[in-house]
Amino acid sequence: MLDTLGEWALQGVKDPLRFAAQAVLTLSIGCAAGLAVSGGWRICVEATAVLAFGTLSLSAMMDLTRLVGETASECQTYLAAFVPVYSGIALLGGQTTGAAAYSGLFYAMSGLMCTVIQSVLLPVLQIYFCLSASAVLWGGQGLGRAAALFGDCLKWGLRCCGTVFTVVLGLQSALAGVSDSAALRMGKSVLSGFAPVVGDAAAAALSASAASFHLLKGTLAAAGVAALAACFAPVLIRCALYGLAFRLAGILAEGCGQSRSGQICALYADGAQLCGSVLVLYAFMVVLSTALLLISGNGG
Amino acid sequence: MAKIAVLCFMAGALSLTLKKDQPTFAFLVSTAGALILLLSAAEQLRPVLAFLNTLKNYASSQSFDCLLRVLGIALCAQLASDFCKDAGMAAAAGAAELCGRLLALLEALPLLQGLVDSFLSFLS
Repeated sequence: MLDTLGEWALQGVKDPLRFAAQAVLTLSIGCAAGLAVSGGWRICVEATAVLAFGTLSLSAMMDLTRLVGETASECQTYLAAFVPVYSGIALLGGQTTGAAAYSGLFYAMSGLMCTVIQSVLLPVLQIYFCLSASAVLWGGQGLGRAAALFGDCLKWGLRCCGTVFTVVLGLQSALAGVSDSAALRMGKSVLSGFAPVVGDAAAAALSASAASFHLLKGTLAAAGVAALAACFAPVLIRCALYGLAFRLAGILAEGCGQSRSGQICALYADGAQLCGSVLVLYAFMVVLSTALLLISGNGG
Repeated sequence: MAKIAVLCFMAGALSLTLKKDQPTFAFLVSTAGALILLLSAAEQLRPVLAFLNTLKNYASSQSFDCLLRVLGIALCAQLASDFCKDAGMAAAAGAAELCGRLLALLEALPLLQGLVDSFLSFLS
């Protein structure tokens, strides 16, 4: 298990560390180059340094957004196999409404969220990165404002997705929580009242089988959540480390007098955090909905 | 640093002495002095260059290589222009600066191309 955890950490840490080293190197050379030359050549060398840093940063963010999209897609593929099995176990445990809500409402919502991430949120984020780099490289307030607009659109989109997810979670909770427990209790009372001799034994057997299915469901849920955590964790670590690398590079750039590279760092640090937010929203939706189905049936 | 200062003083004094009667030799003395100073600066920079080489093995990228080449072109062009100005050839100095800028632009072109390709791949 420690080896597996180590592999996850390595996957998440390797690329951001490499990028941090390249950024520090490029900024240091840019600073030294600015000091070594004078006159008009200083402007030329500083422009090349900003171009080099911008290209490096844009390439790193391009890879990160692609990875976030692939992770959401992989998760959706995993859910296509997990959801029918899990809802089937929940159904056998007496949670008919909860299982229906999970396999219908939640699965549809997760598919919609995956499509929204890949078709809307990530392209908007990519445009934000392009416009931010252009605004710094070629100047002009128009490009800067356009980049800020796309950043605001992305934040608004995330808030909308979060609101829809909250509504869906509430619906799932309302459908699953009370009705399944009441149905199970009604079933037991009907059995014990209808069959005079063996009714109590049958009701006890029904409770025992429901409990065993709850145990199986709990184990399956824990395994599912662990598998999803293994899918999301390296990418979330990567997003956090890229954000940190950009903040530190920004401090270095401002300290060396490279204000334009510092602007790129500030804008891209926000972009890396937004990448992480997109993935966190999707991860929480999946994990909380699975946990809700696990918790809601256990009181029956 | 003291040695460099003394060398600069001696080269300047010799150049001024020769300038009136032997301007060619004065120019050669000034050029030789500049080259010796550059070589001694390069010697001092050797540990820094070795450290950068170590970092480059871990974090090499096209951006870093392009930036180093542009810096080299800028230094050479600036030096050539200064030599031409010392020899009284202002037009040649301007031409050397122009050549340097064109070469620097050519070196930076792959970076610009990479950036535009990234934009096009995003927007498509």
